[in-house]
Amino acid sequence: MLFLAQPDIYLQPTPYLVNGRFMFLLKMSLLVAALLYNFTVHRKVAKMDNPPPALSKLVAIVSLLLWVSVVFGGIFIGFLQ
Amino acid sequence: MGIAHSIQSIQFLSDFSESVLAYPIVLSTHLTCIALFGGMILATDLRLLGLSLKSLTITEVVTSLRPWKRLGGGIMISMGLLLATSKAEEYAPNPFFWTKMIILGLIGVHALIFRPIVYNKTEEMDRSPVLPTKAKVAAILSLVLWTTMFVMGRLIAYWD
Repeated sequence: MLFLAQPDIYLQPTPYLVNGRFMFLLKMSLLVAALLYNFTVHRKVAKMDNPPPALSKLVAIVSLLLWVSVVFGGIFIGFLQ
Repeated sequence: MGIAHSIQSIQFLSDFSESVLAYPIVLSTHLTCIALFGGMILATDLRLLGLSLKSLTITEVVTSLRPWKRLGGGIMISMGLLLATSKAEEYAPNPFFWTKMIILGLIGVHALIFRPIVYNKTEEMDRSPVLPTKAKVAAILSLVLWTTMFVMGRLIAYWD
């Protein structure tokens, strides 16, 4: 919906410097990565009865980092014009 | 407007509001706290309403989330203070901002009322066979107040 409201930002020419479109593509990639990760690694470990604590922590940290960067990416789309 | 102008003119805050990286990073952190802190509030409220996490006792849910809520809330409030003071003049006439502050006050009142009778009485509630009404009232009010907070926060940017 945000895309449809202001398509110009997202359709800027391919940059060699960081701009709104670059951040949009980065955010989408991170979102896809986060979703893929969630439905594979994360789900598998969450279903284990007794996962090794180190593994759980690693999986959790990666998941948090991915999703938080999606949020940051979204905000930066608007701040990099 | 005098006070707002004086606050916003503090060099550090003035630089901050125009910064390329610092301002968006603080804003993003503030928003991420909605997910983290808000998510924990949601989890607690769902448990109080008996809608989720029923395999854990209320005491377990409330006590295990409490330190993280404090951390998340602390980060959220400090980020919020930076954001609000650096744009004090813009926010002074903004009704969404003031509604948000009033709701923050109401959340404080909610805590004063319900902490002694619900949040600090979890063991009692676990022992009773039925979830007491006061817990449900606390949970619903909490959900309504916090949702309104988040919506108002978003709308601040859209006022002219």
